[in-house]
Amino acid sequence: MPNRILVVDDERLVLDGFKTALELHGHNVWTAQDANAALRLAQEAPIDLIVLDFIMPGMDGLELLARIRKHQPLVRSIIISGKIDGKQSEDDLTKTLGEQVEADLYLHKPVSNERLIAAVKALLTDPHVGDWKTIAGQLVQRQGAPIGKAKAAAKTLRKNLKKKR
Amino acid sequence: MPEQAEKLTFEASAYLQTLIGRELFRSRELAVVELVKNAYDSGARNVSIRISLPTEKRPSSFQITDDGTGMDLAGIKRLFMVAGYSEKSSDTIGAEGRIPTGEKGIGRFASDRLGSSLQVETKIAGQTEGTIVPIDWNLFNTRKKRFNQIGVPYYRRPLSFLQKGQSGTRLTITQLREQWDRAIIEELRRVLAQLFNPFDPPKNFRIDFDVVDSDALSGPIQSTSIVEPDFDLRFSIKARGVLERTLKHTPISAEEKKSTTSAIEGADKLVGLRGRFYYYVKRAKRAQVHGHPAGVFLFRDGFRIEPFGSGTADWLGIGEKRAKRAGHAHIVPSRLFGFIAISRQEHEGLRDTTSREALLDTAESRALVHLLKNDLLVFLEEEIRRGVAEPRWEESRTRKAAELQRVRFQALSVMSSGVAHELRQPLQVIRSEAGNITTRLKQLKIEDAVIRKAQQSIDLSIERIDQKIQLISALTGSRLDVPSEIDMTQVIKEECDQFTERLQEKGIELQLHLPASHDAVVSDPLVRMIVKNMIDNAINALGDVKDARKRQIQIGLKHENDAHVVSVQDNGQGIPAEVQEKLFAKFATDTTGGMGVGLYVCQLLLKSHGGAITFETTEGKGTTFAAQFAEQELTDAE
Repeated sequence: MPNRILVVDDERLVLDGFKTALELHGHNVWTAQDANAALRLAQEAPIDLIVLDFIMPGMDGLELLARIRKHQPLVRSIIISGKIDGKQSEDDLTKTLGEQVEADLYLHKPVSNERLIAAVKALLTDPHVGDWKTIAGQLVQRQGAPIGKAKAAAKTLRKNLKKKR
Repeated sequence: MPEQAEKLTFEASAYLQTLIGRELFRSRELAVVELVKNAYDSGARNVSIRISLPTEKRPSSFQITDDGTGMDLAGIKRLFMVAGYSEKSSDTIGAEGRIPTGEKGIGRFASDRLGSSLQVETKIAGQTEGTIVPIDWNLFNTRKKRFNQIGVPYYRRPLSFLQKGQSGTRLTITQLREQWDRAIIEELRRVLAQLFNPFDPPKNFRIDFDVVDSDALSGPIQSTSIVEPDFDLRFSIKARGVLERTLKHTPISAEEKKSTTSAIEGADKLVGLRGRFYYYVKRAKRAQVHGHPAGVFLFRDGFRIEPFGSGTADWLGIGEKRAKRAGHAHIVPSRLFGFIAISRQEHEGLRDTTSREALLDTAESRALVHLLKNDLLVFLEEEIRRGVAEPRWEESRTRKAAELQRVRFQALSVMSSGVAHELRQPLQVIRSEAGNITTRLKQLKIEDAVIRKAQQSIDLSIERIDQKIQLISALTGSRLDVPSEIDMTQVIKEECDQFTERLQEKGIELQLHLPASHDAVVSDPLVRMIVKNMIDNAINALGDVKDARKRQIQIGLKHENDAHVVSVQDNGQGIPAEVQEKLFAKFATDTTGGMGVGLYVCQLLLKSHGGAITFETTEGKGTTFAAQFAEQELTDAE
């Protein structure tokens, strides 16, 4: 089953670039140019991965991610931004952001397609994702908001996943 | 009209004594000074002042004893009892050849200022008996009697404080006009300590204090010493009015003195005059002046002449000048100490008024003021301007320029951080779409050398733009202005670690010559950025090496004056002369192999923090860049 990926960026051309790159590698891609559109899409259908910018008009990427998690606790995330201090390494930022919002990965803009595709692949083919999905899937209602227990389980799983990586 | 045979004579009312004694000396302290001078004039080597503070049983009393020549009865009649009598200035006294200070012959009346009852006990050497004269000054306080109508009794008997071979005089004053207390005695000690020229005190003359029941107030009077001025100007007037002056400005001319000799108009009247001006650039410390007040003091034969140097006497117009020219007068009166020595014998024209309020207006006194103002203070002021004020202005200009640069840089930061973000977006599009083209071509199985080359160029250019954006982000994203206490050795090591892979890849050996630790108060992100840039440049420079030499980078760290200096040395090809010129130019990237922006910004940043970046290069041998980080002050914020 192809993966469903949601890409959020306030620039149409940036979105198009990412969309094409991901589609050329066989992913299903939805795009949203602002946070509200992204939230709507996240409520309509399950999403495996969200690629989003840190700074967007109306709502920042972290808040958007937190809100989408309410509906889709299992969604993986890659933050790609040009705004954050370029001096800090991607690894450092991944760690920091991971602690803050449990984002999976941070990449500096401009990111190459190779790197983006590799990152997406790594996140979605994580050997533990299968277990995770199975366990969490039993707890999460596919439509509508997940019950509290499911949210907690998803959080624990995300943490465990990170530790193993 | 024939002249009458009978002559008229002036006669003095007894009240004249009251006028002289009680009303001429403006303060108690000055009255004591007069008595001390009398003792000095009598050839005394030791003067002892004994004061009893009032108790319930007895009122306070004042006693001054000297070991001078003393007087016999004839002497008392000739010297002491004649108002206005004084020794001639040409008659020197005693073995030291003292020049008498009591030119007015009225000092003895000063005791009236202190108290109404005076007892004189005096004896010359060789006699067994001395003379005791008790005087009640109140008897003179009458306009009805004449001076010589008031009889003063005297007694002859041995004096308890003097042996046969000894001589001296003791004045005991009772019925004091004011009660003495500790504060008054302290003030008196201070006045006496400043009575002598600290650089030329009278020889073999000492004043001792004995305050009954107070060890703290008792003891010898020490002349106040004044040391370690920033400017030391000494001068003297030689024969024919030639001014010799020598200036030492510490520490600028610690070893070198500036001496000049020149004939000064009118100074021929002042031959023998000498003195010095001490000037402190900042308010003088207690340890330097020991409480001595600022001012230009005048001393005659070692004794201070009032009121010169006192807080109210601006006799050289220094305070007035400063008030008028606020920011432009360089002498601050409170930092100037002047000591001018004149002599009664050599400078007869320099006489002070009987009231001790000023010098009599004579050609000599005008010449003195002119000399001090125009030939010494103007010169000193010029030296202060050149030695202190101008460097300070320069410093202030530099500081302001640095401040301006910092503000500019901050504005630039805000702008460029916005621009950097904006640039990343289109760059992301170019990168994504270029990648998509590559992917699509692969899928379509199209292989073409021209397309591949074009793609490589695009990738390389994106990479380069990205690096510049990263540099701007590094500059704008961190608080370069905030210094903190850091161990520079540690910081440099951490930055070097970031290069480990790249260095291995390029086969470059990195040698660190760092102390175990090196504490500094500097901006941590600034140090990191500069060090990173320097290493980056060194690696790039070694990329040009074509021969088989072992590529090396050496990093050093040391103190230099107030700065911390990080040096990065490579053994690359060196920088060609034509590139050197442009190395620090703005956006000189094309001609400097990519170093342009980095070095320009590094220099800009370091300069705005009081540092600099310099380099030495030898073609074919390598280059050393040295970044100086000025030690900063910790700010309160954060």
